[in-house]
Amino acid sequence: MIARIRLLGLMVRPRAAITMWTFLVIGLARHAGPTISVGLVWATVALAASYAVATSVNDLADVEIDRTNGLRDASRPLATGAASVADIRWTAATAGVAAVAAAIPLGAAGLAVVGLCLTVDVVYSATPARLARRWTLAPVALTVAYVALPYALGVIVAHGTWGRADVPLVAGLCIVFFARIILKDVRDRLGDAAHGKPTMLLRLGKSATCAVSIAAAVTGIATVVVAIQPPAPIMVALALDGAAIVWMLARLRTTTDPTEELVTIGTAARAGNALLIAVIAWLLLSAQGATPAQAALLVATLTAVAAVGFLDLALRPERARVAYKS
Amino acid sequence: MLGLVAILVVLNIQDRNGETPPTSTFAAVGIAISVVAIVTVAAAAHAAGTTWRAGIALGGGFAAIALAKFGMGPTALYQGNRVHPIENVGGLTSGGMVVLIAISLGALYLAAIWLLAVIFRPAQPPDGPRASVVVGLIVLAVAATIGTSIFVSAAASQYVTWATTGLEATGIAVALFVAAGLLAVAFRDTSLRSKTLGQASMYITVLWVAVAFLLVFQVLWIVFLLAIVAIWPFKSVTPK
Repeated sequence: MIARIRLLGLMVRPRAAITMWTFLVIGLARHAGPTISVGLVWATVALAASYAVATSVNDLADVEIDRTNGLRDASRPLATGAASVADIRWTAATAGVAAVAAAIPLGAAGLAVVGLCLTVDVVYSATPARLARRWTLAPVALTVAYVALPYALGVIVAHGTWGRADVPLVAGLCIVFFARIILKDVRDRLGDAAHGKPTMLLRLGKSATCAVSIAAAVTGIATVVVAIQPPAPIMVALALDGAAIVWMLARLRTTTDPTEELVTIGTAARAGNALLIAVIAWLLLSAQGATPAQAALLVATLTAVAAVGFLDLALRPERARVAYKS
Repeated sequence: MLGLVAILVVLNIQDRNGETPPTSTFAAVGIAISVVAIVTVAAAAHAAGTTWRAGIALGGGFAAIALAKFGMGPTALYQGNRVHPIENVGGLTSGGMVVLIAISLGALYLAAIWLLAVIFRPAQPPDGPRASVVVGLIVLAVAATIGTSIFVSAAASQYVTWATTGLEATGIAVALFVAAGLLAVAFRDTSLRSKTLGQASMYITVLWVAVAFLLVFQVLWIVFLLAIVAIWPFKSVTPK
């Protein structure tokens, strides 16, 4: 039993779950009052459990592809043989129950959003829908699951109401995430090609995929800036993050070494994280009544720290270590 | 040794005429300590085996931090305290409060130095501190936040308000950016351990900025939590 509970924890894949949580927090920050309710804890548990369902169902569906791609790290227990099909089915079922249970304190709206999350988790990987095998729908489904639904959960935690002002922000965030998620298949293209899994990368080629990603990143960031209307210094910080992302994507377009490709994508993701953190900082501080100067100083400090880490990796990619979201 | 020199400089540089020191005293102290910092840190770094260029860059970074901590920071606190007295806890006198704050800060610095010592153990992997060290840093930040909230919340609030608005904020920001830039130059030119030293120094400094902000806007714990997750491990990237 303890081994299965440990397996459940493994399937949450904290780093990826935190990415989803970031969008939940943006929804919360957009509607935040002076205090944050305990609902954040329930929403976090529900989201993490929902993600464990997604990873479990996906691992069951793609085990052969994962083995072809050589994914033998601890976060892929089915591919490595550390867990059986029955074990992974158990984690999917248990995590699903946990997600629903955690959503109950959030009320009917919370239950509805978590229910949608679970639905997307299943239809993305499992037959008959199996959206992961439809190269045009797969990134859209992932964008909804990672961005729009967590954002909606954040609005519920803040006891807010979805309004017209949310639309441009969610749209911008979705476009930025889309720019990122269409690159996820770079690592797995060998296995995807061998097993006939269609992806945008395999259909359009790397150069075109990078071009789409660059266009989406620029459009998404501009939309986010228009949506949150930050003061000029924060706008500059967001623009710097955007420039860093475009720089890495342009490098990715011309890079041929597989390891360097992965490092470039990961480095661009770091700039993307800095952008999201800056957005959260501005939204939270403005909700708390902070002055634009205070918010600008904090965002400048955070951007400076992120820039040091980013430049270290961008200028010396050979020193980076490729890790996975375990 | 640097701390002793700092105390001597502060004691000798202050203007003893009048009941309250002029604000320029803090500026003078900041500049003096910056000079002391750049010389001692550069010499220490060079003695530890780094190149002179890296040592001077590291010293310059610490000098900029010293300027912010010894000059701008105390001026901010002084400006705030001039309008509202530091909150009195448990019936302590003003002098008692100063001693209490000094002991609290001294303990925090000792904890930070201990953590740095743990980080720089030769057996440490090159990808940054272990999870236990990061947990220690978070505990330290939380302890500092709670401790300082209890003892000096009003003064800290005044300090942050003053230090993050107007021309002074620009000064502090510039000082910290210069520090970050010079430290970045330092890691470029030094050996792996020296680079780790520079990076850790910057993160410790940012930790203090974070603590100051957390005092006023507690909800920012979310931002700092995400920031820590985003930058750590320092050299790892996740492509999927």
